[in-house]
Amino acid sequence: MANILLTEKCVRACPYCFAKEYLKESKENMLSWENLIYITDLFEAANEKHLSLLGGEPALHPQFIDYVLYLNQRNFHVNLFTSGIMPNKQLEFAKEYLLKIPVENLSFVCNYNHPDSSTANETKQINRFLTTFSKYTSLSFNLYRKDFDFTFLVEAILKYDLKKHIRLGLAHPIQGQKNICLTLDEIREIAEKIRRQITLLEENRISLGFDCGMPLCIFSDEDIGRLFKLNRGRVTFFCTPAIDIGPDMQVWACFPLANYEKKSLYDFDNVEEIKKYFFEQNNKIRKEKKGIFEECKTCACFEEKLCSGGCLAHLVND
Amino acid sequence: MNMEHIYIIQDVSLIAQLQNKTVVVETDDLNKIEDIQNAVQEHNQLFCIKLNVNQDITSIVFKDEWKNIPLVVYPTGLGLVRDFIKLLPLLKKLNVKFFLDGASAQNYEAVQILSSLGIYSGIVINENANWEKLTDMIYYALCNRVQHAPVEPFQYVYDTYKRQTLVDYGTVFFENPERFEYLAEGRRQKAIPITLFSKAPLVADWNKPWQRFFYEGTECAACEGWRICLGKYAAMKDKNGCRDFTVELLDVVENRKFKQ
Amino acid sequence: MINIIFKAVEKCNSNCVYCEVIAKHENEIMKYELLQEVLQKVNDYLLKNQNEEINLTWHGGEVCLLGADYFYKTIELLEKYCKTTKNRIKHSVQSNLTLINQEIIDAFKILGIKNIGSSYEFIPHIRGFGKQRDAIAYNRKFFEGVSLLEKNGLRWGVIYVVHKQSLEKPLEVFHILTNLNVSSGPKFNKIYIYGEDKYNLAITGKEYADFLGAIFPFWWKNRERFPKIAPFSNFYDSYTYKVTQMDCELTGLCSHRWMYIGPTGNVSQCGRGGDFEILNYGKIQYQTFEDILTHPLRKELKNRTAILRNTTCKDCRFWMVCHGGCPIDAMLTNGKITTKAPHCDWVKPFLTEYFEPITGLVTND
Repeated sequence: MANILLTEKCVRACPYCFAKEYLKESKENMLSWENLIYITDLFEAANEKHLSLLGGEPALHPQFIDYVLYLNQRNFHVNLFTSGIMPNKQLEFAKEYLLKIPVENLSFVCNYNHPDSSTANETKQINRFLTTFSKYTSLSFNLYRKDFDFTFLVEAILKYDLKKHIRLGLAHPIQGQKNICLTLDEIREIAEKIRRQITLLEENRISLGFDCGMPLCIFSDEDIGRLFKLNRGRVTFFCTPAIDIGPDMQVWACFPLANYEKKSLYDFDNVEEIKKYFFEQNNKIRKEKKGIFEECKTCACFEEKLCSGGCLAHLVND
Repeated sequence: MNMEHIYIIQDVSLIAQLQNKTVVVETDDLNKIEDIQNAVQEHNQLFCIKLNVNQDITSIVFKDEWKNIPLVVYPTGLGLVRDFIKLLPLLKKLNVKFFLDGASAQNYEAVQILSSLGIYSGIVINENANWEKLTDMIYYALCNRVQHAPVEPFQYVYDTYKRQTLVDYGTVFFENPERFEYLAEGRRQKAIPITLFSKAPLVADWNKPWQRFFYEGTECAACEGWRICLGKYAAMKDKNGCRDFTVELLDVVENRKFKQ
Repeated sequence: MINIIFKAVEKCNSNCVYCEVIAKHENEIMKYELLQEVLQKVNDYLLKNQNEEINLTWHGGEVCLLGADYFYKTIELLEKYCKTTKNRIKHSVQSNLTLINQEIIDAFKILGIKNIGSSYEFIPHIRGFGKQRDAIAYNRKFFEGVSLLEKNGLRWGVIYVVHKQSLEKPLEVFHILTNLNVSSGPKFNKIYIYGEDKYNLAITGKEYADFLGAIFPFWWKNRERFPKIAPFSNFYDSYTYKVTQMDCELTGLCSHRWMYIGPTGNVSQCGRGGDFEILNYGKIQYQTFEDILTHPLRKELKNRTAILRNTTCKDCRFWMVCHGGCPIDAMLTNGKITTKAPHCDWVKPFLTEYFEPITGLVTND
C-alpha cells in the first residue's frame, strides 16, 4: 500500500512530527488531478487497489472529497490519515458525500493527540469528525516521549464508538533535522510502559498495531504472547519500504528516510520497480549496519527476519 | 479511404430533403433530443446528435430515455467531480461522448477524469489550445498502463494511421470535408476545417483543401507533423506548439502501433 | 525487358530551368504513321523473342500535349498491329500532370498504367509557366492533376532535382516532398548543368552528398514511416541484399536494354542521349530493334564497364553501387564514354561520411 501526500499543508505542529521538516519546505504543493490519475493507473496496473491519502492534512486539499470519491469509483480502497481538524463546511461536504461509501471501501486513521495538547476549537472539530465518521475511523498515536497513557485513546474509542484498534507509531529521527523523538535507550524503556497499557486494551478488546520500526527484543516473550492474542495473531516487527509519494511526484521509502533517498515517480515503469528499488536501498543499509542495537548484529530474530532491527532512520542518522 | 458520406443539419425540418442518408443533427436544445431522433429515423439513419450546450456536464439533465440515441456533447466543462460521480451510473447507460474545449486548462484534467471513469471523451484542439498539456495528453491517451475510455482525437489518429496515408482527425469533430457535408436551406457546403479557410479557398476540389499549402509555400507543408495535421493551425503565428505536438503524436503512434 | 524512352513529343507547356541545358528540342509530334511503324517494329521484335517484354515509357516534353486522341489512336494501333504481343508491351508515363484530364486518364487505364511519374518544385521561378516561370499557377494545375489521378485510383511519384537553392534547407525539402505524397517517396536527382550556369543553380558532388547527408539521419531513424526514397532505399537495398538496386545511371547495365525514340524517329541510347544527341543510332524507320540493340556504337558502351573495372575503378569498394556512373554524363563531362562519370563526387562522400557510419553497413564490393 502506498501513501500519497495530497498536500504538504498541515493544521497542526506536532513536536514529534517526522514529516515536519519535509513539509515546511514547500507548503504550496497540492497533488493535481493529473498526478492522482497517474498514480491511480500505476497502482491499478499492479493490481494494488489500496491507497492511503495523507498530508500534511489531506482534508486541506480543496479536492480531497472528490479524490476519495474518484478513487472509490476506480474500485480502490482508500485509507485517509487525518487529524480530524477540518472546517465545518468541508466536514459537511464530507458527510454528504463520503458517508455513502461502504465502510469496507473507506477508512480513516485519526492521528489523535492528547486533548490537553489541542486548543478547544481543535478538540471541538476533532470530536465532530469522530462523531460523524465513527464507524470508518480508528485512532493513531505517536510515541515521542516515555510518559504516555492510552486511557484517553480508549475513552475516545468507546465514546465515539470507533473501530477497536490503535495504531502505535514511534517518532523517529530525521536525517539532517532535529525533531523530538525517542532515543535508543528510551525505546528499550517504552516496552515496560506498553506492557502496563495492554491490560487496559485487553479489557476493552482493543487491538494494538505497531507502525514500522518497533524492535521485537524490547518485549518479553510473555508480552509478545499477549500482543499475539490481543491482535488475533497479527503482530509484526518487520519493516518494508512504505512508498510515500509527494504532490510533486517525488517518491521515497518512508518519511524518516525522506531526505535519504528520493526519486521521481517517473523514473519507474511500474510499482514492482519502485518496491524493488527501495527494498534494495533498505537492504544495503541493513546489510552493513544491521539493526539499531548493538545486539542486532548477532540476533537470531534479525537473521530469521522476524524483526527488522528497528527503524533505519537511526542507522542513517547515527 | 472510402468513407461513408454524412450530412449535417441544424434545422431538423430539412430532414425531409434526405432519404436513406446518414445524418448528424446539431442542436443546442436538450428538449428536442427525442424529437430529433424520431424525425431522422423515419427515412434516414442517425449518426449522432451533436449537442452544443453552454453549461457544464453536471448541470445537464440527462435522461434514461436517451440510452439508444448517440450523443456527442460539447459542454463548457465537467463541473464538480462529486456531482459528476452521482451522474456516472446514468451516463454509463447512455451512448454519449463529451468533447471539451482545449483552450481551457481545466478541461485537460476533466478529460482524464472522464476517460479514466469509462466515459468516451475528447479535447477540441483549436488555436488557443494548450500545446504542452496536449502533448502530455498524448501519453495519457495512448500509452496508458490501464484501460481507459478513448480520448479523441488521439484515438482516431492511432486507429487510422497507416504510415503511408494522411490522417484527418477533423473527422472526429465533423470537420473533414471528405466525409461531412452541411445542409442548410437552399445550399450545401462541405465541412470547413477549423482554421483552414481563413483565406478564400483556391482549390476547386474541396475534398483536399490542404493541397494549397504546397503551392502557397506555407510552412505547414514542410512540417514533420503534417500528415496528421494537414495545416489545421496555419493561421497561428507561432507554430512551435502545434509542430511539437503533432510530431510527438506521430512518434508515439508510430512507436505504439508498429514498434511494440 | 527492353526499356524505350518514347518521346512522341518533346515540346512542353512548362518552362523549367533544368530543360534549358538540353541541347535540342524537336517541335514535331510523332505522326500516326510513324507511331504505327514503331509499334509494328515492337511487334516484330516480340514475335521473334517470345520471352521478351518491352516497356514503353511515354516521356516528353510533356506527354499530355499529345492529347487523349493520340493515346486512343495508340490503343487502336496496338489492337491492330500487336494483337498477340500487346500484353507484353508495358506502358509507363512521365508527365508534369498540369494538362492531364479524365479522357487521358481513361486511355492510360486502358494501356494498363497504374503509376505516373512526375516531378515537383516548390521554390519559385525554377519551374513554371511563361517567362516568369509562374510556379503558383503551375503547381495549382499540378495539384488538380494529382486530385484527378487519386480520384481515379492511380498512384504518382515525383523526382526532385536538387540545385543550389535547395541546399539551404534539406530537411524542409524532404518534409515537403514526403508530405506532398505520403504513399510514394520522392527520388532525389542532382541537377545536371554543362557549360554556363546561367541561373546559378549548379552544385558540386560534395554539396549534393552533404544535402543528402543532412536528410539521411532523419530518414534512417524514421525510415519505416516513409515509402522508398531514392537514393537512400536503393543504397540500403544494395548494401543489404548485395544486388544492384540503383537507377539506370548506377547499374552499369544500360548499354544492353535501353533506347530512346524521338518524335521524328531518331533513335539514341536513352533519354539523356537523345537530349544531348550522344550515341545516336540513326532512325527507327530504317532499322529493326535487333539492329538498334546490336548497333556498333553500343560496343564501346558495352565494353565500358569492363574497362572501368580494370582501370580507374579497379579497387573501388563502391563499384557495386556505382559502376562508373552514367556514360552520357561521362561523355558530357570528359568527352569520352569510357571514363567514369562524376557520380563519384557525391556517391563516395555520401556513403563514407553519412550512409555507412549511420547505418553501420559496409560494402566491400
